[in-house]
Amino acid sequence: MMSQAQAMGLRVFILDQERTFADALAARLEAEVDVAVVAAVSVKPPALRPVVAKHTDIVLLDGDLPGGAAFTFCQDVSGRGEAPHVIMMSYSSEAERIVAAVRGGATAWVRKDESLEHLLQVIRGVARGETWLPPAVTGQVLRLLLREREQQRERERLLAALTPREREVLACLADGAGRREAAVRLRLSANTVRTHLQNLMTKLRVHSTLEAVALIRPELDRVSNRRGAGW
Amino acid sequence: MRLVLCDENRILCEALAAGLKARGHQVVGIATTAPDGVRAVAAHQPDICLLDLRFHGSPDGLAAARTIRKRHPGTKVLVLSAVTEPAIVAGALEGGVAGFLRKDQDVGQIAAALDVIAEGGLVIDEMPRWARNRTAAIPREQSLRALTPRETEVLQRIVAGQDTAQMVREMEIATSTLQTYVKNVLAKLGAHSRLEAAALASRTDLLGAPDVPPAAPSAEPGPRPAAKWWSPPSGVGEPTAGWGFATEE
Repeated sequence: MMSQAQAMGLRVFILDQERTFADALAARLEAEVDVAVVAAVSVKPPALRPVVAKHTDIVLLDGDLPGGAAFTFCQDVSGRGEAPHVIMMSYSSEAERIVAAVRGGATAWVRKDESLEHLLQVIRGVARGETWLPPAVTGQVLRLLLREREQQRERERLLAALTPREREVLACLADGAGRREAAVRLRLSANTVRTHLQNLMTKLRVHSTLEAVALIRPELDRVSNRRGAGW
Repeated sequence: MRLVLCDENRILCEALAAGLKARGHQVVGIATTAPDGVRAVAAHQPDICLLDLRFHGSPDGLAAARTIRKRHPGTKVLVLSAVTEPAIVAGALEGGVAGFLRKDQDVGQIAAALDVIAEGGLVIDEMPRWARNRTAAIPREQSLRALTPRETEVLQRIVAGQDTAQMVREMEIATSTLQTYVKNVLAKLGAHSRLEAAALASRTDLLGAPDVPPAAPSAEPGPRPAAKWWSPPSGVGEPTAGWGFATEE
């Protein structure tokens, strides 16, 4: 017997800042026997983050939402259990933005000047677990992702060289605490904090605490995201 | 109605084409650049061209709208665009487009707008005050096309300051008939009152030289243009709010 999901087809959620597009696309997708549109929402900044309906297989997301809202939204949606696949739709296809989308958990990027037939192919492909990127920029996207991966390894390596105490000091600074504040929080003397700082800056090969924080911030963010909680 | 859709967003064009087809229209061409849009109009001579104004990295739609109006007067242009920059909207209106809709209309609303335009009407969704004032520059023939001869006469009499009783007497019609005419005139002009309609008609030179001698001092000019209006959906992600003309007197 078919499950309800199979009977309904792919459940698609559409979110676009242009209502005309969301509405027209929803109506057109509904004409496909294997696609069901759960909701078509148009958002205009500054808007609340719309709640993606439960039991959604695919989110068609406007990648051109102002202020990079699409990437934040993508991250929110993709971070859940049984997360739907996110297909970003955009008027352009810069590699940097695609990388941000992929990092946020998107599985495909479709330019809006592609055909509807192509979009349907991608929707069905993504449902089978495929990833779709515009061929013209795939190479560049992969290079950027690889470079990012290398930088991350480098950061991990640098961070690993620090002692637990040094990491705590650095975390305090990344959190915006001054040296004195860090000393209070960690119950250390100001002098000890200064020594830790000098040592960790030498290890990280940087010349200021700001530089140290900037260098290690992405790694700290990544770790804190994985824990699912802020600092 | 035979339509050409011109928008950089091909997926939108194709989806919209399906939606409009379901409502009895025929999409004879789709183009994703402004020059292609002009070519498609030349090739198919559609009744209406739905045209976006924004095209990344290529000529914008404004020039295309003007070209279409000039070379193919039989094709009306309905701008459908997210662009709201004052200069561009004003430029489009002055270029003789038959309508300007933001991309927050749903398919049903667009189909309704096409019907209005087909009848010779002008369709503009809610826009800032500056744009309203600019619409006064629309040629009078275009705005007046929507008024029937009888409605035009009523408007002339309103401008001349006649009251209901006087008009009923001189036009030899029933009061209820006259009220219907007045209501239609106000709706078509987007005016809320006879005073406003008179102001609009005078300010935009809708009627040319009056046939009826003036009888009352002219009213303060109102902010509304000689155009059909509807209110756009106000909320975000709300269900379709129908559109309608402002008709209250």
